[in-house]
Amino acid sequence: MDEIDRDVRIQIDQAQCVGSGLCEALEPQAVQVGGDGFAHTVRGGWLPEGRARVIAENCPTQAISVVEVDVSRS
Amino acid sequence: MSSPASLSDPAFWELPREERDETFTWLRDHEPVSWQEPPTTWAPTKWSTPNGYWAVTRYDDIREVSRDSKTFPSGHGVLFFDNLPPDIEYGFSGWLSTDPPRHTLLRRLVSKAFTPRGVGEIKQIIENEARKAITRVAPEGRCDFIHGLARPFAISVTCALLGVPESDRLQIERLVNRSGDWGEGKTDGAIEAGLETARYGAELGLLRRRHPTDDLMTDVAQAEIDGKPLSDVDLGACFWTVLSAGFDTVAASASFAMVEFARHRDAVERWKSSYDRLAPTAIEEILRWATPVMNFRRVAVEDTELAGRRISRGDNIVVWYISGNRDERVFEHPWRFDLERDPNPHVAFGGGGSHFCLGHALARSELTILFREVFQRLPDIELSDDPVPYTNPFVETFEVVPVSFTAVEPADSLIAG
Repeated sequence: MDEIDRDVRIQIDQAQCVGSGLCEALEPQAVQVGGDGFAHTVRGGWLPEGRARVIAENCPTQAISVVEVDVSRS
Repeated sequence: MSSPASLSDPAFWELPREERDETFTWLRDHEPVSWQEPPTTWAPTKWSTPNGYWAVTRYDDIREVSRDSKTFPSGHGVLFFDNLPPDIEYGFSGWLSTDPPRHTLLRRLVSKAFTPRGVGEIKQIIENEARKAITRVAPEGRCDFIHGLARPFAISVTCALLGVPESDRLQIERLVNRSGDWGEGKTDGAIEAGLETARYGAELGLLRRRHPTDDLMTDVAQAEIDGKPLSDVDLGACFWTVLSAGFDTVAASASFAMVEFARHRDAVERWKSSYDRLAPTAIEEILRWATPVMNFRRVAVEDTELAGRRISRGDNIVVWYISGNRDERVFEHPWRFDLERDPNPHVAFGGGGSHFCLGHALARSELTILFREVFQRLPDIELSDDPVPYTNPFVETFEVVPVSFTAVEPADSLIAG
């Protein structure tokens, strides 16, 4: 399977997150800013790797990291 | 060009933008981190004289400084002149001049309102304010686009978000106008106007604490940090941070677009014909092109190196977003105004880091809605005379942007809505 298409799980480092919402703007299905002002993953934070890399790169405080790769479909 | 002009020389800011851009190009190529004389003309005179600073002009270096808040924190001040006492700097620069962890605690009190979903919830307000602003000028057939339309629109949206009563908006507009009037003999008055606006915000917050409504100042007034409500000063700083960042930026960006549209009629027609499809790239290009906030300062808190330059502990570093957004190393044909530019990783909202513009989604939404409404209601709007730039080294904007359009009678504009 193509590395860009496989699903990965992202994690948000709340010590870094400032709730800019750039991640939510790009992937509202995977991450949303909560009432506490921090971004939280939705439904486990799974999304295709290519898109996960885009939101990780766009995060102004580098709070998003890819932590797990879905190997069930490899 | 053999030697670059000093960025602290007032004459430099009288030059047309194209000529100033040549200096920034020279600096990026030859001296990406350059020492600049103290910005004496622009600094307030009430306190000690300001110090010089390192000007950072390349995109990558701007990002590095912006993202490394440990080496280059904001807590020593962010305005390009460094002679405000700490309490005045906090009063005037607000949350921008705080560092984590305190900055994070303050920012998270309001961040949800500024996410795309939060902004989506006030879409109706933004649309209504855009329509009201257009309806006011529509029968005239002409107006000053910035002070007659874009700025009143942006002020109304920001005031509505914060919860400023309609009856106070004129007072707020006057204060904010004064707070942006910088220059020789004027900056002291501008600072005082900013502090006065913050005091208004503090009073509004205290009022909302006793009598809550549905607005941002109510949320902030009711919030607690470490079990304690925010102080008057913090409430005022919040109000002023949001207000001051909220409308010269949007008004200037919209005005730069209006000016540039005159030179790119075909591209604008293409955008109008598929507005929603092209809006995302068009708005980003407008933001890159305008870069209304030209710079912010940081202070190095340890000896370090930047682009091969030795930086000493205590040195001022000013990052020039306006230069980063023209960096040929990142943007293909940076001088081309391309409404379909993609990718467009501009630094109009800052170079990243914890101070990345809180209002990015709001600004994008305001610009998208404003131009949709303007194109629909005043379809032949165009620049009718030379715009007059407003010369200062902080916010790039205009004194006047004359536009004309076919007059629309009030009844017509209501029907169109």
